[in-house]
Order: sequence, then C-alpha cells, then structure tokens
Amino acid sequence: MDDEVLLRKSPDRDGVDTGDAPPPDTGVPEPPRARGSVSRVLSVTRYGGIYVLVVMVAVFSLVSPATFPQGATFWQVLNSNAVPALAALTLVVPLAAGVFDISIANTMSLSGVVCAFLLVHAHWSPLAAILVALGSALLIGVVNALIVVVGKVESLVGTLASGFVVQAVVLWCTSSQTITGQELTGSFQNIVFDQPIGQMTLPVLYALAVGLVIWYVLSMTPLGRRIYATGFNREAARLAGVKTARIQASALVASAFLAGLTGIVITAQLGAGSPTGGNSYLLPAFAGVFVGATQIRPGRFNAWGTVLAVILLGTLTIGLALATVPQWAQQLATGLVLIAALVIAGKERRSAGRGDKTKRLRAHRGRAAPHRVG
Amino acid sequence: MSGSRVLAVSGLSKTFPGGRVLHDVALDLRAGEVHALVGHNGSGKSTLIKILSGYHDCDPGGRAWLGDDEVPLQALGRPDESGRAPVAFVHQDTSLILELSAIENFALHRGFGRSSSLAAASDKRIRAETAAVLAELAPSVDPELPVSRSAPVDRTMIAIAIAVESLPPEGGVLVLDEPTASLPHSDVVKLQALIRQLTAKGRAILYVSHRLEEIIELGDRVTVLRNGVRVITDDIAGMGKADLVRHMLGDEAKLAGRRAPSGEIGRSSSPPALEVRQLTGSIASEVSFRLGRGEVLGVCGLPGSGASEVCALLTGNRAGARSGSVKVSGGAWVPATSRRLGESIALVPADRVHKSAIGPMTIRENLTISSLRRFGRLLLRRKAERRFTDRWLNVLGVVGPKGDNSIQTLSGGNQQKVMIGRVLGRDTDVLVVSEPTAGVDVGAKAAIYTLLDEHVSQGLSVIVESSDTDDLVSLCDRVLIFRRGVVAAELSADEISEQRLINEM
Repeated sequence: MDDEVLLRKSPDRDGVDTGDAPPPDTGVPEPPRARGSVSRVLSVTRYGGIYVLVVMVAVFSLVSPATFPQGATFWQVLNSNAVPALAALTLVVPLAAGVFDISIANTMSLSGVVCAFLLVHAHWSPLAAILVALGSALLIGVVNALIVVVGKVESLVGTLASGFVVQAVVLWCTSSQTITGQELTGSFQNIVFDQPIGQMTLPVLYALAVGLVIWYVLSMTPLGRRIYATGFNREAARLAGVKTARIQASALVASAFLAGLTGIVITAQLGAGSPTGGNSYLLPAFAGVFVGATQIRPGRFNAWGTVLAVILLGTLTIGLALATVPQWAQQLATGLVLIAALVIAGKERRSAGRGDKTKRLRAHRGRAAPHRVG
Repeated sequence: MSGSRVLAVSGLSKTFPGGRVLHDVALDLRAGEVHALVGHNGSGKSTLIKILSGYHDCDPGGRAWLGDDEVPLQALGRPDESGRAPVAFVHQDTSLILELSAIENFALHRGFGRSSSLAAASDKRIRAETAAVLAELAPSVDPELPVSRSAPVDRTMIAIAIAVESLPPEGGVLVLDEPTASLPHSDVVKLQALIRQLTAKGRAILYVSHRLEEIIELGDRVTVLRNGVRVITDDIAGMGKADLVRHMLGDEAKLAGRRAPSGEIGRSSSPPALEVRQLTGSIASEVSFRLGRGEVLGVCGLPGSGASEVCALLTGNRAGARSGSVKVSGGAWVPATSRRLGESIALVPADRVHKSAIGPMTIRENLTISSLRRFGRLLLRRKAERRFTDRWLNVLGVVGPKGDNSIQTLSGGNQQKVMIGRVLGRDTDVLVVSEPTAGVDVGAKAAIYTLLDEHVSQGLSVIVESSDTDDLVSLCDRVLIFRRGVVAAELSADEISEQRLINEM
C-alpha cells in the first residue's frame, strides 16, 4: 500500500496496514460522522434552498391555485431554466479555480452564430456545424487562457476585454443581423425540442449531464481538489506542488467550451443565430452560481448547488409571473434572494468549523495579532 | 550622556493563550540616550514594543510614567489634539506609501488640520515647512520625488523624520524597531549620524536591533530580555559583544539537546542531494554549496543577508533570479531562471497564513493536497484518504479534531504540523523548510523536530532556513551563515551553538 511508504519512518506506527495494531478510526464509520450525516441531510445550511423552494411552491399554489400547481408549470420551470442552468454551470469551473470568465456570453453568441451560418449559408450537416461551432468556442477559451494565465491579466478585466472583441467580431461578420433560415428548423431543432420524458425537452438533460460531469470532476477526482485549492489560495497551492497555471488555463478553456455548447442550444431554441443571443444569460448565470455556492457544498462553487439555485430563481420568476406581478417585482425578488442568500452564507462561513474550538478562536480573534514575539 | 528620566514603565507582563511571554518587565529611558533593547527571538522584545504602542493591552499591573507624572500605559502612543504623542515608532517595514512623495507622506501622517491631509500637501507654507524639516533630518532626500525612488536608507530616514515630527517639540521617545535590518552596512553609518543628531537635542531613542556591533557602537545603555524576563539594564561602555551574547543566552550555553549527526548515511561517497552553483539574486551573489543525502543544512542570517532569498530562489521564485544553476539528486544542472527549478524541491513556506495553509479547506484536504496521486487519478478514494489522514494526524500528534474540520480550527502549532506533514507526503528528496517553528509553542516545536529527524534518518535531505537559533541548533548537521549576500561562515556539527550563531550573524 503506497500510503504506508510515508509511515515507514515512524516506528511506532509500523504494521498499521497489516492489521495487528488498528488505528482508532479504521473500517466502520465512527459515531460522530454517522450522527453528522443525519444532521447533514437535514441541514438548513447545506439544503436551505430546498426548504425555500418547498415554501415557495406552497405559497404560489395558494396565491394562484388555478395556474401554479399544474403539471404544465412544472415542465415549464424545468424547460425554461435549462439554458440558464447551462450558462450558470459554465461559470462553476472557472470560479472554482479562482478565475472569472465574463466572456462566456459573447462566446455563446459566437458559437450560436457560427453554427447558424454554417447550416444556413454553407449548408453543412448539423453535426459538422456543431463541431466547428464548438471549435470556435474553444479558440476563445485558449485566447482567454493566454490573456489571463500567460499574460497575467486580472481575469475579470481580461475576459471582459476578450468578450468585447468577440462581440465586435460577431457583429461585424453578421452585420448585426440575426441569421435565419429553414435549415435552423426541422432536424436541427430536434436537438432541443425532442421530449424523451413527459414534456421535458432535451436541454434539461444536457444541463443535468453537464452538472453531473462538473460534480464528478470537482468532488470526486484529485483534479477537482486541486482546482478548489487553486481557487482558494493560488500561491499556497502552487507551493504545494499544484500546477495552478495549467489548472486556471484549463478552466478557462472548459468554460468557453461549455459556453459554446450553450450557444448552440440557444440557436436551436430560437431557430435563429442571434449575434447577441448569449448576452441576456450572463448576469442571471452569475446570480445562479453565487447563490449555488451557498448550497449543497456551502463555501464552494458547485454544480448541484448551482442547479438548485437556478431552479429556485426560475420558480420564483415563473411563480410571480403567474401571480401577475409586474416584471420589475420579479427582478426585485431575484435581487433580494441573491442578497439574502449571500448574507446568510457569509454568516455561516464565519461561524463554520468552530465546533468545540469556538472559545479559543474567539480568544484569538479578540487579540487579532500574530503571536510571534521576540 | 545621562539626562533626566523621560519615560519609565514597570510591571509589564503579557499572557497569550500559548503562555506568558513577558514577565514583570521594567524599563526607563533618559533624555538624550540611545537605549538598546536586545534579546533573541521569542525573548519578548516585540511584545514589549507592542505594549508601549498600545497594540497589545498588558496584563493588569503595568504602570507608566512620563517624567515624574504617572500616566496610563495606553497614553504613551496615543496622539493628543495636536497630533503629538510622547512615544513615536518607526517599524522595520516603514509605513510609507511608495507612490507618494516625501512631503505627501508627511502630510498623510501629520494630518495638518485632519480634514484633508493630502490637500495640505499642496499648501505652499506647509510644503516649505516640511521641506525644511526634511532638509534638516534627511538632507539626501528629494522631498518632491516619489518615495519609491529613494534608497532604502533614505526611506528609513523619512520615516524617522515623520515620527520625530509627531513627538512633542521637546523630549519624547523614539522607538526604532530594527531600523537597519534591511540596510547594507555603508548606509547604517548615515542612519547613526541622524540618531546622534536627535539625541543631541534631548530625544531618547529606544533602539531594537539584532546587530550587536551597532548597538555597542551607538548605544548608551542596554536592556537585555531573555524568555520574557529582563536580565539586565546597564551602561554599554565597557561591554563587549560576548557579554551581550552571554546575557542574551544565559550562562548555561545550551549545547545539550543537539541531535547526533546522521553520519552513517554516506554523505561524502554518494552524489549530493542538491548542488547549488553561483546562485545570484537581488541580494545573494554567487552562492555555491552542496547538500548531502540525509543531511540537514541550516541557512541563516539577519534579514537582508540573502539567506531567505536563497531559499526562495531554490524553490522556484524565478522573479528574483539573476543567474546560477542548481542540480538535484545527480540530475542535470537547471538554470536558476528556469521554470523547472522549483518542481523537485518541496517547500514549507514561512508565511503560513498566506502561502501555506489553504484557509477554507479542511484539515484533510490541506494535508493531502501535495500527495493526491496516491489516492487515484480519476476517482479520489475517499476511504483511503480518510485512513491516511487519521493515521497522519496521529503521527503528527494533532489530537482531537477530525480531518473534516476546517484547517482554521487548529492552533498555529498544529497547523504547522499539518503543513510539514503535507510536504513529507510529497514525493521529494529535497525539502526546504522556512521558519519551521515560527509562532509555534514549545510542545509542537519538539514534535516538529522529531518528525523531521525521523524522515532525515530515512534519507530525506533538508534545508532549514530559520531566524530561531533553536531550530538550527536542534536540527542541523551544518549551518551556513549569510552576510551581505554571501556565505560568511560555515559551522560544522560540533561548532553549532547558539553563541556561535549569534556571533557570526
């Protein structure tokens, strides 16, 4: 067992693995953890969003009993939030790695337009058009990586700038016109309008698949651990042997790729290649990913938290719309939810992990000074 | 040169959660004297100064006098309505804003009517006044240029001038905390002239320094602290460096407790674990040395001597590297400027909070971040990782908390143990440990020594960079002492003692 290599150097722990002197915690999960997992399942901190969702559904059902508690509403929430969920998931990876990617909206527009152009004007097959569109998005990812990681530009500004350039190129090449054509309907649209389960359309499945992949990578693999370490403390991670530059570069390429995918779905949904098709998704995506970071794995940008947050915000919007509340009130509600979630999460984080050390930590904080003397 | 008493304190004690670091210390300063405060790391110097400045509250029982009037301790560093305080401080890293000119920095600190201090800098009369003060105290400074373009010594002099301006017109105490730590020797003379100029006007100076020669040259009286207790306050005249060292360390020069050199591992026959050739950075110049397999090499020197820079260069801080090359475990020579340099040398950084601990992550995640490979590639085997963590925490002697708690729930000493556990888990032959026991209590310190020793006896080669002589005495087979960017002295196993180390620095 390779982890024994490390322990060969401490004589008193020899033979631990062969079982003659089992350490206290081998094998069965220890009682504290077992108890922890029960409280974890019910944890308001981790799953607060689900409770809020339940309450919200109940309230909207009471307010608009004729329209809200219907099967159609359920499918509408799912279907109309698939693209916002994809856009929000796109941001999870770069943010977890400690870099912003503002250019995703423009990359969505780019790949949507490229796809539409190839279908309508070059008469390519959908598969080829999709692949080339994804390629164009990847290219933006590589450029972002060069700007941010190699050129050492602050990611927020760097990707904002590259986003402007991408948007400009898209507008120039399309003369600001939306690309339409019969090629964008029919078989191409099947990639979004097929309904494999009930009235659920395919983009919901895409979002779930993307969420699954991101969840797996971030929480189940060593790579995910390294990504989080890079995002939390890049310098410390680098000194601990994590290849932080490579991770941040890859994260930007990954986000561009996912943005490309989302752009294609948008084009299929619209039945047209809009040169600004991605723009309206950017800010809701940030809202979703930040609220998501307060859920499931509080304190970390994570896939399922993001999906939950998007559904939450989407239900809110649809519920308010069905209650015939004016549109400004919907935005107001979104803003308030965002603020509330982040404030609560901030509080939780500050008190997180105190446990039995609470008193000592408080004592430390009271002094607020490093204890190095002399 | 002994004028009337300007300031006295007594009964200063300070207790931190880790223990008592200052025991009933008294100090008095006379007008026109340079009063040196010495003591090695952990002696309580910094704590004493932080109490004087009001940064720390002292334990009950502390008293203070200005002249013959008793005042509250907190009043010493607190400015009155005119912005003047009886005691002013100049710290090692001066708090100047480098982008602003000397005059603007002056204006910021002095406030000038407090409403809009930077605007005051454009007031003609204030400009002229400030320039006059600077011309007197720091004549080599151009008051209009950004401070960043001044030499380090000039920055220190600007900081001193600003501090002096915040003292009352007469008397007052100026505390200089390691003012020469990052200055080359030639510049120290310039600073000494300024200090003499100030004492001639009746100011008292409390001068904190590790550099004993300077203290003997400049000081009138000296107070020595050892382990938080005042050992002596006496005239410096007639004292030599050896006397000071004796006071600092006590009569029992601690030769015991040194570990047996790990001799049997063929240091001479097998190729060295690390060879450094002509390594040059901004301070270090053409440093060459070898590190044997299974050897612990100490590297030390006062701040600015190049010791810490060498360690930074070795572990891949390319920004500062100029030239030189490094060879690890008989591999190829790698230029110091290459990005491949740091890869095969693991580091425990000195700055635990910013460069080592990954705050929001758990103890387990912090421990295994450098050795994740052993838990799989595409799937992290959680159970194996948990078992590994539990056993390591056991080995490290981190008792109580489980690996799933945040790293921030651990005390400084336990955090440092986890950081050392992290690098020991990394697949590496050469380890650079920087200030391994800074801010760590005595028990954890011993545990860290034992841990490193055990791994060294298995063939790990370690460079220990430390300003704590305990580390060097207890851990090292050999010590390189840096001064002004070069290896000034090399102590072999039987020569390493606290006394020698302090003398050579």
